[in-house]
Amino acid sequence: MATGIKDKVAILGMGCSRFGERWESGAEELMVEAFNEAIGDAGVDVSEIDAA
Amino acid sequence: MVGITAFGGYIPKRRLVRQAIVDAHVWADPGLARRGRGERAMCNWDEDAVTMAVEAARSCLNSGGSAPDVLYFASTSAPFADRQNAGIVSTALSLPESIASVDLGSSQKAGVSAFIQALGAVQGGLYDQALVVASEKRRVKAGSPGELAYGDGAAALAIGTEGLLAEFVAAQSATVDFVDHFRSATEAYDYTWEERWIRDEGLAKIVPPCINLALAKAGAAPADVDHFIMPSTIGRAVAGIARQVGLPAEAIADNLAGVMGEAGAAHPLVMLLHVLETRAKPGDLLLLAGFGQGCDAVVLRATEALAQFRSAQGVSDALANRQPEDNYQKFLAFNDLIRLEKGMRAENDDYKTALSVTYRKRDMLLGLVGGRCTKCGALQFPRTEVCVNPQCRAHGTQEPHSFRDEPASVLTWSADYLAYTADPPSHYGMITFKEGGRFMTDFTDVAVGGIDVGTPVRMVFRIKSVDSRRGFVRYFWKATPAAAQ
Repeated sequence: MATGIKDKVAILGMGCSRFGERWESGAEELMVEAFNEAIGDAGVDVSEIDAA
Repeated sequence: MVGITAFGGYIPKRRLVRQAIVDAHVWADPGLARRGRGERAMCNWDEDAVTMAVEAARSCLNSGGSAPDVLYFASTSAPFADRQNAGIVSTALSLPESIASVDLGSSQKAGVSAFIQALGAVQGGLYDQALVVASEKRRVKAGSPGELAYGDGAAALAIGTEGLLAEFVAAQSATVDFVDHFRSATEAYDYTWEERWIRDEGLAKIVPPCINLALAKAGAAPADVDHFIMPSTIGRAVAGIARQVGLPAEAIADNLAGVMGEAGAAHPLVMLLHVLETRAKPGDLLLLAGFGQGCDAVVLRATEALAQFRSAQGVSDALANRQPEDNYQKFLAFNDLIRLEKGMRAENDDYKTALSVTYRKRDMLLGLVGGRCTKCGALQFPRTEVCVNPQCRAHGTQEPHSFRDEPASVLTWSADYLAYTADPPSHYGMITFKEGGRFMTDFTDVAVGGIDVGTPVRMVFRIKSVDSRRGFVRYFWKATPAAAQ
């Protein structure tokens, strides 16, 4: 029987880059910004990430 | 006292053998049969007035030329009519964004004009240091006299008040709307009048009075001139002027017609560099003249410091770095003088440039500026938010680091006949910089078999591709074998 992911997976944190006319930033800068916010929100260290 | 503090020159490596041009056209013009001597410098397909200017200015700055407060770019073949060409050169060399920049053109004397403006601006105290670069790649029709007589090249001079190699003594100008040739704003090619008229009615009447006034201001007699530096493609014209003025015949400088041809507005400065490199001795008096709807004349005196000066790359070094080309078809192809079938793969090129990204990444794209991690010291290109060193991976730690003058060597390479390039095979591969950092790059000025794993290379500023539909030139840096330097 197929099992769902209910109660097995949780969103620990989330991040989002600041909205606006970001002329000075490219996709990579925006991603890193969102990533850092998500990591900070989750309270985990980069070394704890098993899959990305 | 104001004068020249450093200089650098650039002549494209390829030299089109004139006999190849003559062989192609002598059927229609038997008079060409006697004009096959020597070579003309010929831009590779990825070179233009801006890329040559970058190379000349770079060697000037690498020869002790101080960071300038103003950059003058002179050319009648500037790739952009409305985008500052000097600004491209400045960004390619990572000059501070607080400097002034000026483009000059519209006359064959523009190079000497820029030189005079720079001398005056520094002498008057407006700027402490100026950089003058004149560069020319004149468009010519197939079979035209200019195709044989002209050649591509660039010269750069640093102007300052200390450590002078040659002192500025006097200058004189003349403005006369004598139209020996012209090119309207919408035309691609020059229209030229008869040589004998240009020589007798123009050169012989406009230049001597201007030179005489310059020498009078300098307090010098014509016989005192050790080097008379003036280009002309018209036979005996310069010798005639020297005779009229009373300049010693032996003072007439080599116009380099045999080895490169005449580089338009840049050529007086190219010849000046050649004289400073090969002939001028401390104390010598130099007379420089440019002609074009008038005349600009400059009197200079070489100093003791000239004897010790060695340019990172002078005109004579560039002339020695030579690859003869006897295939005239390549000249036609590189200069869009023939309608070639380029194949479907060439169509991939026709996409537009995002000017917003080009601006955001301008130091990377034009200046080859990558990153150095302030935490672990790793060098990388491009600069990113995250350090590439797997042991580091720090965020936001990279400071700008230029790879422009970093020595590098070939790690992998391909010579690809399938991918489109104007000069097949397309050479590309991975290079590794001596101090760290790796880079996937195009190789340019490489003959088949001219590159191998481990070959030392240096970076050069070139045309990456051209958006022909919108007329936009995309520049970037490529690697070229360093052995000849």
